[in-house]
Amino acid sequence: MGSVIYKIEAGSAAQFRQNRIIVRSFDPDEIDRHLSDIDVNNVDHVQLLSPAVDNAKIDNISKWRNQVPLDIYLSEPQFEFRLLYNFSRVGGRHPIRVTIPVKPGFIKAAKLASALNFAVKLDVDHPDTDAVNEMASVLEFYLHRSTVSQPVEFFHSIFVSFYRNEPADLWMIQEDDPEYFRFVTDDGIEMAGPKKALRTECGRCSFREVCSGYFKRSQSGYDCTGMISIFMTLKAAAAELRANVATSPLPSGRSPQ
Amino acid sequence: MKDNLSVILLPTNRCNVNCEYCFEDKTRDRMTHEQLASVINRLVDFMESDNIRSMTINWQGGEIMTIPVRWFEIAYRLISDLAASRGVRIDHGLQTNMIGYTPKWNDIIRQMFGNYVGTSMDFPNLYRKPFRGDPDDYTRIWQRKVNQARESGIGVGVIAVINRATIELGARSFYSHFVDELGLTDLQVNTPFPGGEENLSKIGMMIENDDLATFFRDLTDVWLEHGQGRGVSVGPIDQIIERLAGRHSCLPCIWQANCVDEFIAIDARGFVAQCDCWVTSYPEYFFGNIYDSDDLYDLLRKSPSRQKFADRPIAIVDRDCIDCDYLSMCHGGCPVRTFTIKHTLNEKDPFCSFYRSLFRHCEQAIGSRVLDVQRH
Repeated sequence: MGSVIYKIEAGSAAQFRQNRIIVRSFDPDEIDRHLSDIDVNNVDHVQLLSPAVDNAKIDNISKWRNQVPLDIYLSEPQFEFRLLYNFSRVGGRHPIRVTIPVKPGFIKAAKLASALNFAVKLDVDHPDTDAVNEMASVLEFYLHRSTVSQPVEFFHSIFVSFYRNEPADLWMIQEDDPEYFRFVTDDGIEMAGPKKALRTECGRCSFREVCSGYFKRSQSGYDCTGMISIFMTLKAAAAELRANVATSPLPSGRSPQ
Repeated sequence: MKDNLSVILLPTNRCNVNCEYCFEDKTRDRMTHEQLASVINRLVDFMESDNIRSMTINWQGGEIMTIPVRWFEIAYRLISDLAASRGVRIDHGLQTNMIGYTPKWNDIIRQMFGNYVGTSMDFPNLYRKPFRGDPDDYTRIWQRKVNQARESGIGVGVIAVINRATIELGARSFYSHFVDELGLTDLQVNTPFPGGEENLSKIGMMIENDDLATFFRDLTDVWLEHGQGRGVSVGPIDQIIERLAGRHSCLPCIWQANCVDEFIAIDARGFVAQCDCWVTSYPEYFFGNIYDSDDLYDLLRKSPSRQKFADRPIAIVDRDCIDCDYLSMCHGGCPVRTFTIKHTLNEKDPFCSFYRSLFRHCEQAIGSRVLDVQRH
């Protein structure tokens, strides 16, 4: 990971033209207008803050003279998920990811986004038991449905890290590492996010290297039991896949390493 | 629209046969070259406005071969010149009943249509018939014409619609007829639906989902055993297998996320609608008339009818489609099948249980067999 990425509102794009940026707005036309003032190679992705956008504006996204990745944020996933269909025609022009807060009913949004071949990023704070159960259902769907062809983060990156026995950093996967991601308010104030740090209570957790206290950020008393079970499921799935690959013959008849 | 504009173009609404289950309301209209030029220009204008660089025109009717070959020779030159002058690519596909085919068509088929024709035939043929004669007469003529075309080196693909007699004969007989007896290796198998004006044949041709499911499961097994990897394509089965196996696939229009994003249809009268089924039979669902509009983009954007199609998956997904394991394969299915059977757009496809059964069967086939599929 190189330079800092600034999360800015569209109107500030010109001020940050020398930096890598994530550009947000409720209005795709506004995003397009401000991107025309900068080098889009510096744009990591743009974020539409709601899927409730006029169809003519969605049509305009297809006319953008770039293929910048588009993230669509669903603040009310249980109710807004259906509107993702309006973006199916854009998917061929721009990589699309849907960011879904872990709220009741969010599984519908995850399933439809996946069905539309959109990537998914779960926006996770401190999920309660019901939310963790719903996350477990989404994880089951992600791991075992052959129709899933796009990543569901953070599941995907963590799974791959377990499978390859490589390190992973949940803060980076979630684009929340304050060393590399800085949120700039609509008023232009750079906000300092919660610090990434292992807490005392993380000490004995077998996933502390991956998590680094992510789920205790801003709430040190959060009970991570549910999230640990999610990690355990991912770890078990990765081990199962490794075992399956090890025992399957390669097409050439050679044995796997 | 996506990166390629797909257009179903009906330059004529005339037909030379009298199939009992046809969903098209025929007229004697035929497009002039002047009208064709205006249509193509408006389509290219639309492409430019939407940053689309290529278009595929799928020519059908009515019956295409009621138009003289010479008309197509002029049309091809007209369109090619226009495409070159405007810097776009335009490809062509042909769908014909082949009844009017003669070797005079060979050159234009090679030049304009990639030396390939799509045609249709059922097994057994119960409903396709000439104006004078019965289905057997139609079948004989069709077979002779198809053989003639193939002997000239033209590739032939066949769309077959399932009927009750097909179910009774079974999948193995169906497969053997087309592949082994007729030597046809590019098949698309469709479900019937009672489109257009009602008649006794259309009422009687509907098949229960369970029977369709059994037939298609059997056909899947037959194809996996005898056709897969051996140059035999049986749509939609082969594409379902490719999709579930995580390979590049092209599922049929009935299962796209929203067909309104995939193509439009334009008929000889200039009417624009969602597909050939709609443009020939349901004027209340026309999007507009391209001859009356300078701007196709505006016509489509402002069409309340088109918006109904666009809204359909949004309207139906939160009922039981969202809970379906195969949402990504189906998205609530086909609007015209829904409309002709349930008389509304805003319900899921009435063939839902059949589709799910077929998807599940294909998924199980992938899981339980070692598939010896050549990599593309």
